[in-house]
Formats: sequence, C-alpha cells, structure tokens
Amino acid sequence: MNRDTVLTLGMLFTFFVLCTDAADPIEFRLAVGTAWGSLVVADMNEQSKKISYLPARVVPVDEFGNQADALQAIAVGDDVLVTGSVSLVADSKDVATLLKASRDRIGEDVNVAQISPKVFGIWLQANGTDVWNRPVAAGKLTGIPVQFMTRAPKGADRMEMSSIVVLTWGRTIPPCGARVTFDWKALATNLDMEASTEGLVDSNILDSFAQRTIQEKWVKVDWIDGTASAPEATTSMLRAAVVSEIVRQLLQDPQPFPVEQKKLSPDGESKSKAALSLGYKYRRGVQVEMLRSTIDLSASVYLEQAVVVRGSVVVER
Amino acid sequence: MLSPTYCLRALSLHCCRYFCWLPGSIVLIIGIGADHAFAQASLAAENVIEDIKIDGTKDTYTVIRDAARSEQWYYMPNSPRLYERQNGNKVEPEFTLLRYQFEDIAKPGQTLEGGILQFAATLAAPPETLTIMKQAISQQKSIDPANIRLAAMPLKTAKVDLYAPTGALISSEPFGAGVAPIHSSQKMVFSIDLTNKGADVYNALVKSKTGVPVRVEFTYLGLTPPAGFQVKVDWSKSFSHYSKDSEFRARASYFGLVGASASVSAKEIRERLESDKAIEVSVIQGENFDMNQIDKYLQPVVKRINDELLEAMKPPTQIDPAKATEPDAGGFFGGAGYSVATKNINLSGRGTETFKFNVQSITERKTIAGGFININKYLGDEDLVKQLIITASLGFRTAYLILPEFGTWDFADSVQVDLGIKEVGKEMIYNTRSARWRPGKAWVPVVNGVEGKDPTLAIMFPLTTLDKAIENVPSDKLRLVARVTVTSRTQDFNYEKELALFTGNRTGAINPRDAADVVLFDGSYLPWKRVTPAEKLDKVVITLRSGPDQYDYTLKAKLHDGKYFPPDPLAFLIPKPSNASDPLPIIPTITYKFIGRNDLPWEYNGQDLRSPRIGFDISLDPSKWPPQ
Repeated sequence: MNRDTVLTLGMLFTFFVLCTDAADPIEFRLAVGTAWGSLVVADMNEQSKKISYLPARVVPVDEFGNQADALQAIAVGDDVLVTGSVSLVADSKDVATLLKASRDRIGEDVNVAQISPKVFGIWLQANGTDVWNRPVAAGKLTGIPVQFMTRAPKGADRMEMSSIVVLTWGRTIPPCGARVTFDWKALATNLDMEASTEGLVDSNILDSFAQRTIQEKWVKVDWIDGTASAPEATTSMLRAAVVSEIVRQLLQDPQPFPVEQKKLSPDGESKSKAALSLGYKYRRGVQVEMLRSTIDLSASVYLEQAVVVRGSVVVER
Repeated sequence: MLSPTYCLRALSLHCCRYFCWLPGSIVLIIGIGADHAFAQASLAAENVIEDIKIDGTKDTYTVIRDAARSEQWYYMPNSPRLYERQNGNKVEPEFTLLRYQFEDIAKPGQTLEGGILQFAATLAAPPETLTIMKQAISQQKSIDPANIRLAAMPLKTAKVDLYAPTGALISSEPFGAGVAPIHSSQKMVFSIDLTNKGADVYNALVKSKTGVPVRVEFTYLGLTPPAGFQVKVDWSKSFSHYSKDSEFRARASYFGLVGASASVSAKEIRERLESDKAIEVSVIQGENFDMNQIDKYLQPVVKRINDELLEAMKPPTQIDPAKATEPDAGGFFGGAGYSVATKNINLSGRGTETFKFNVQSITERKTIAGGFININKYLGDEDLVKQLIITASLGFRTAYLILPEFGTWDFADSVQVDLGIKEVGKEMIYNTRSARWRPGKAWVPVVNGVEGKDPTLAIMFPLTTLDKAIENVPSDKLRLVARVTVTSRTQDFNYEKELALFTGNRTGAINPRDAADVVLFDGSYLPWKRVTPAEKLDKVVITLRSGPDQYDYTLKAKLHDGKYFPPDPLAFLIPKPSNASDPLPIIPTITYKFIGRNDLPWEYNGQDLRSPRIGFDISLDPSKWPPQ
C-alpha cells in the first residue's frame, strides 16, 4: 500500500510535549505547538488557509471579565489572602504578529482564529511552590476564581507569581504508513522502572523510553509499504504515536513537572537550572488485560497535543 | 486526559448508488443504550454556543444542542451561584454568617471568637435566564424561540470543592465538599468553621466582588461529530479483480458465508481490493474512531460486493466447467469440494458506487464550573443583610444549638429539634425552644406548633431569662437537651442528646445519623408497570428485622399531578445500640410483586445488611432478576 495515498482513517491521542515559556523571547516559528508570547499555534492548514491558536497568558480580570491590573491581596498577619479572578487570553499584539506571519507565508486571505482548548489546567506558584491550581478539565477560559494564602513579601505591595498553563487540544495529521504492535506486559514492567518513586514519568523520559521500546521490540513496527526504515519526520511521528498509546494505556493526566537541567557555564562549571516539563502519573497496579494490541498508522490520525506555558501574574495589596 | 469512550456507538451507513440502484440508507445502532444515542448532547462545534451573557449579572452559560433532536438544547452553567428561596414576596439567599464571641470556660477571662459560614449553592439557572438563553440561541441559529426546548445538561458525575484556604482563616475542612448532586436543581450545602480572623475576612469578602470560591467538577456524556470513512467501489475493476484471482474469489466467498466472524478475512479482502484500485477508501476524520474498527464496519460493503459479483457456492457437480475452475483456497473449500464463480459481467453492477459510513461515539467530557459565592447583590437591603450576618457577642449569656444542614436528607418529611436546658444531674428541663427542617427549605423556629417564616441557623435563648432555679448555675454545670424527631414515610424516629453549652466549637452539633443507621432503598431503576404499562412490576414489599424491632413498607410508583413516576428513595432509621461495637444484624425480606408474573425474592434476603458486600445504600437492580 502506498503510504502517500493511504486513505483509511485512524484515530490516535497523542501528547506532543512542548515546554515553552511565555516570558522568554518569542521564537517566531510558524509551527504547530509553538508559543508566540501569549498564544500557542494549535493547527495550521496551508491548503484550507486556516490557522488556529490557543490563548495562553493568565491575566487578572474583574468580576465582568475585563482585564485588571492585579489580583487583590488582603493582609492576614504575616500572610496575605490572594483573591480575584483570572482569564486565559492571547494579547492582541501577539495575534497581530501571528496574523502577519501567516499572511506572509500563506497569503492575504488566510484565516487566523482563536479556538478553545479541549481541556486546560492552571497552576500558580509563589517562590517555586504551588499555591493554587485549577485541575485539568474543560470549562470557560474567563473569570476563573482564585483564592489562596501565601507568605506576604516584606516591604512590598506588589508581588509577581509564576503561572503555569497546561493546554491540550486535538488536530488531525496525515498517515505515516506503519502498523505498530504493543507488548503491554513488557511496556508496563519497564515503564514502572523508569517512573520516579512518586510514580511520575517526565515527558523527556517518556520520549527516550519510546525510542527504547522500538529497539527492544516491546513495540514492533511493520511499515506497510515494506520498507525497513523511514525518514526522520515519519519516525518522529511514529514515536509520538507510541508515546500517545503508552500515555493512554498506562499513564494519567499531564501536569507540570519540574526537572533539573544541568548546563556548563562559560567557566566550565556545571550549573543546575530548574526547567519545566510535562509529567504523567504512572497508573501503578494497572491490569494489563490486553497483553498485545495493534494500532494502524496507515490513516489520518486524530492527535491530542499538550503544551506547558509559563508566565506570571501580579498580585497587589 | 483521555475521556473514556463508551461502548455505545451509533453507526449510520449511507449508500449512494450512482448507476443501477436507487439511493438508500441504513442506520445501525451497535451496542447497548440505543435510546441514549438519540438523546445526547452533541459535541460538534457548530452545536455549541459558548458564554451567553446574562445582562446585569456576571453569569454566563454555555448551551449545547441535542445530537438528534434539533429543538432540544441543554445549558451548562459556567459558575455555581447562591441558592435562593422564596420567602413571601421576597427572594432570599440561603446564606448565614454567624460571628460569635464567648467567654472561654476553659480559660477564664479570655474569649472564644470565630464564625460559622453556611450557605447553599446551585448550578440551576434562574427561570428568567432561560428566556435569555433561548433568545441567544434563536439569534445565532435563526430558530423561533417558541420551538426551542431548553433543559439543564444531564450530568453523569459531579464533585464540589470549596477552595478557600484552610489554616489561618478556616479552622477545619469545610463540610459539604465531595460528591455533588447530579441534578442541577439540587442544592449543594456548605458549612465552614472560621477562625477569628477568618470571620472578619469572610465578613468583608462576602460583601465584596469576590467571596467564597466554589468549584464544581462534573462530567457529562456527549455524542461526537460524525466520523468514519467513504468507500467508492469501481464495479468494472472489482469484476476484473474477482474474475482473475480464483483464490481471492474463494476467500471472499468464504467471508460472505460466515460474515462478521471472519474479520481477518475482511481485512485481507479490503487490502487486496484497495491495492487493485477496485475500491477506494477515503477518510472522514474525527475523534474516537479507531482504525482497527474499519474492517468491522466494512463487512457489509464487502458482503455487498461479494453478492454482486459471485455466484452462490455450488457443489462441483453443478458447476459449469466453462465458468468455474477447481477451488484454489484450501480448508473449507478444498475439503468440501465447493467452488465459486463470478457472475456474468452483464448481470453485475457497473460504474461506481459510494458508501458513506458515519460513526459517532458517546464520550464522557469533564468540565469545571467555578465562581465566587457572595451576598454583594443583596447589600441594598439592610434588613436582609442583618438576617444573613448574625453576631453573637460577649455581654450576655446565651444558650446556642447550631442546627445541622441536611443536604442529602431529602427522604425525611421533616426533622424537628426541641431544645431545653437543665442542670447536670437533675431531671428538670427549662426553657424549651424548637426548630423544624423540611427538605428543600431552611430551618425555621416553631412556636406553639406553628412554623415561623424567617429561617434560622441556630436555636438560641438568653440564659438571663432562665428560671431562677438555674439562673446562677455556672455555664459548665448546664447542659442542653436536644430532642430530635425525624418524620419520614416509613416511621417517626426519636432520640435525645445531651450537649455541653456551645462554646465556639462544633462538638455540640446534632445529627440523627449519630443515633440511627440509615438504610436507603432506591427503586427508581425498577420497571414499574404504572410508569411503563408494558412492564409488570406492581410493588416491592420490604420488611427489615433488627433484634425485636420490625420495619415494614411497600414501595410503589408515586402519583404526581395525575401521572405515575418511579418512587423516591426510601429510608429506614434503625436505632444504633448503646454498645456500637456489637450492633444487631439487620435482616431483610424483600419481595417483588408483579402483575402477570410470579413473585420474586430479593437476591440478598436473609443476609445481614451490615455485611460490606450489601451495605446500607441499596439500589434495587432488575438486571439480577432471572429470565421469565
């Protein structure tokens, strides 16, 4: 069967793991999953000339959903009670930048539109500690009530908190022409060994585990057109599919996951930097009832993607 | 993150013939719950209107169209709101903040300060907003509002959380968090113990634009947009393929014979036909459609192709040697000596034919409605605010009983508390006050048997007016005596509880569950004849025995406004023995009585309900009945 003309349909849930930082300089790369400041490119179809994006910046809002300067803080002894509402928005300047880039690449008649994530979660952190979170679920993006206690900053009426947003959404991608068979007993046993003692599996571990699964034959790949291997673009899609299926069968909802990244400084010393990844809770004790299963990637597949975006929110006394 | 997909699948197969045949369509429902498949919220983007704003409020709603009935819409609140009740001509919120300041009996000279915040929240939309939502639907979808039906989204599960921070402001885990009602019209009741600081902060917050944050996480079922695939059959190429390949022909025929049980054959046949361009399968992308299902759904098409192109299998003796060769495929064909031939091309289909498959699946969606509970909108009514925020301050001795909230006591007709006061070691009870609670209503005081109108959070009376005999008795030598009477369909249940005077903690709370085990029977899933005439169940006779006591009740469909409905859940209150470590068994004898069928005993008759595998929350389940 010719991979390019395979027309049957498959559906797959895949979490592309992309960690971006809304506070970092914007990388203007028009690609799905890329964060453009306060938004994330969700889908791009050059044939239908449609580009969609997700709002990713957490901003304080008033009771009617209008953007406010800060969340309110009420002093309670040495602590403050932070209260107010937040919304997820895309800044108009970022939308304008995306629109311009889209027009330059696709044409003047390109349609750029905001979509809602399928589910989303928000975490607020003060001094690196979670102080509030909205669980990962669907729901309205505006007027999300927030209330928590935190230590009051000394001598300051304003404090900046980190916001972390996990967004997931669905899109379809073309076929990659493989049939993939999973040995669930081997996968469950080996993934359990990769998980932390708390049972968390970081997305980087998951990605390298996906590569290992193919090498170790815990996942068997048959290319439908009979080739022994495939170009990098195809194998990366295959890896994503494997990750997706492992997440679906063995793991739970994604959540922000702090990871330590070691970098060499100019003077040659190794320095640690706290970074953020997606983490998944391992479902220990899961019954691997179906010891083997097969997915067919000779079809267009429906993927679910996830992204983490870091930003900041201001709190004012 | 992934929503589980249910076994319910609606598959529609549309067959559009371009040449020889008339257009036709077939609709298949696969799996259980076919009715559900046709009364489900649609998950297609075009059937959702988000954030309908209600003017003058901060409330917004999302409405979702039914997947099958175009006139039916469901609304989903984006935030919970304070539950309101009608008190005469006035609408009042179910909300009380009691701030207190008492002398600390344990630490003379010091005070005990704090607060109790009680309120009820709901997800139901106020009646006036339904009209606004209908207008919004009408404008966006160009439908006459008169032809729009609007109802609350049926929920599958719901969980509620108060995410106000415990610690400096809230002294213990709030009561009321956890499993929430799945009917939007039901209220969610909360009670929060506040510290001294908390009482001050929340007194200010509930009058502000924020308040107490409440979050309801719920799931509902929806029908995904149609997904699937389209199959284009080129009859000339198919005929040619079948004619040339006798082994394939034999396998295809074998598949036609055994049909659905031969899915592997279906896959092979599909792939061979595709590779030879006899059929072309194109994609209609969507959620929850698994590639592995394709061959199962293709079986009717492959069968059609076989029927069109193949002669019926014949024994060798009947085969015209000019048409059929010896079978090439082994197994059944070879062994039995059957053979298969293609039909004459003139008798077979020509041109192309397109089959379109639409698959929709019922999927669970999880969403969150969150919002602040406050009394901001009532601040203009000072008298009402005084009722809502009560301060019990130091300066006079007062006896209090904080009345409990019975969020899930809807089985009781009423609960009455008669509260008196007595001196430790003496029998005489003074100064009785009463309050009564009914489902869906707040506690109200009862004076001379007559219910008052104003709701109350507590029974209280000043000790300064007590009888002279105990006027000067120190507080720690006084006891409250609460007589509790629960009236329900099955029985009247009474008990008495002696309590220390309220000193700012909740140890003085009463709850009838402290004195009784509540055995609940839910018969709403039973097939009641009076509700559905085709069914046969007339009544359920229930008897429970616990020691010397016996409790009887006959459960029947209930009559309301001239129409029969399944009965409400039924409760028996079985008194707890004084020695709780050695409870008496509760032995049931339950009989299903039918019209036109023999009686059936309940499957757990004669077994102790205290056994963990039965329990006190019992759903009478017809699926366990033996076949008739």
